[in-house]
Amino acid sequence: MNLQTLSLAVLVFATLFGTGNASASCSNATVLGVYGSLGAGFEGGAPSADVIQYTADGAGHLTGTGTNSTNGVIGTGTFTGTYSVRRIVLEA
Amino acid sequence: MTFPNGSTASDNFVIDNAKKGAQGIRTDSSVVKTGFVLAQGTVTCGLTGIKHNFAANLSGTVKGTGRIAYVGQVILDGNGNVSGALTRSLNGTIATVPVTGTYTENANCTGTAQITPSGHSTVNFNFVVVNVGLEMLLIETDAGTVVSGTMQQ
Repeated sequence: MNLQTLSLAVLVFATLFGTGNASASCSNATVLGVYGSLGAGFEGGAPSADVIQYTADGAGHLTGTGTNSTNGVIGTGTFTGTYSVRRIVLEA
Repeated sequence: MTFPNGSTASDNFVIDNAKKGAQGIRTDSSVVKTGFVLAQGTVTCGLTGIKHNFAANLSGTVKGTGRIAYVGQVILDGNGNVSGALTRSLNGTIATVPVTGTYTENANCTGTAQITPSGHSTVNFNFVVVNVGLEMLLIETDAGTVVSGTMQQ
């Protein structure tokens, strides 16, 4: 495990966009269960990608594991985190 | 989010896919990275003995070599064996080759795959099963590579 090179993307702030008076609700409870994610881009100018599995408890807490490659250096490991979900209503 | 070594990372996400997924972007300085999230859903993972056919799409870079991309059909036989064929573009040089290999899939829906394109070195992946088993998210774990993608049924 190379935690020094591990940098995994994790949901920390989520938004559900709605329009007008749409009735869709959205809260931390919206994000509940096991998820997988794939990210790709650049870190410090170097190519980077990650694949993560994480569990959200519906109350703003995350745990998970994942694999990251940045500039070809592979890291795997675990993390903990928090998230917050809010709804933004867009004017129609 | 905090890692065991004390480092942190942050993202903004927008929930989509009937609240079963999200699109995300890293918000840490010096990072330019986007991605997506899919719920795992209800699925039985492991070597279940059930064969599944996937369409694979992976791309990235190989340090010292260049840009690489794969698209092809990958068959997981449910018993840990991989077969299929991939078309690879390496810096624009195209080759379509059969592939063989092995894989492990854990009950928690994570796993590893070792795929060998005919005439080439074995490529190693870690993966996560999502979308009620219809999709896998993969990342190559060979040093020097930054290659990731999906396989969809």
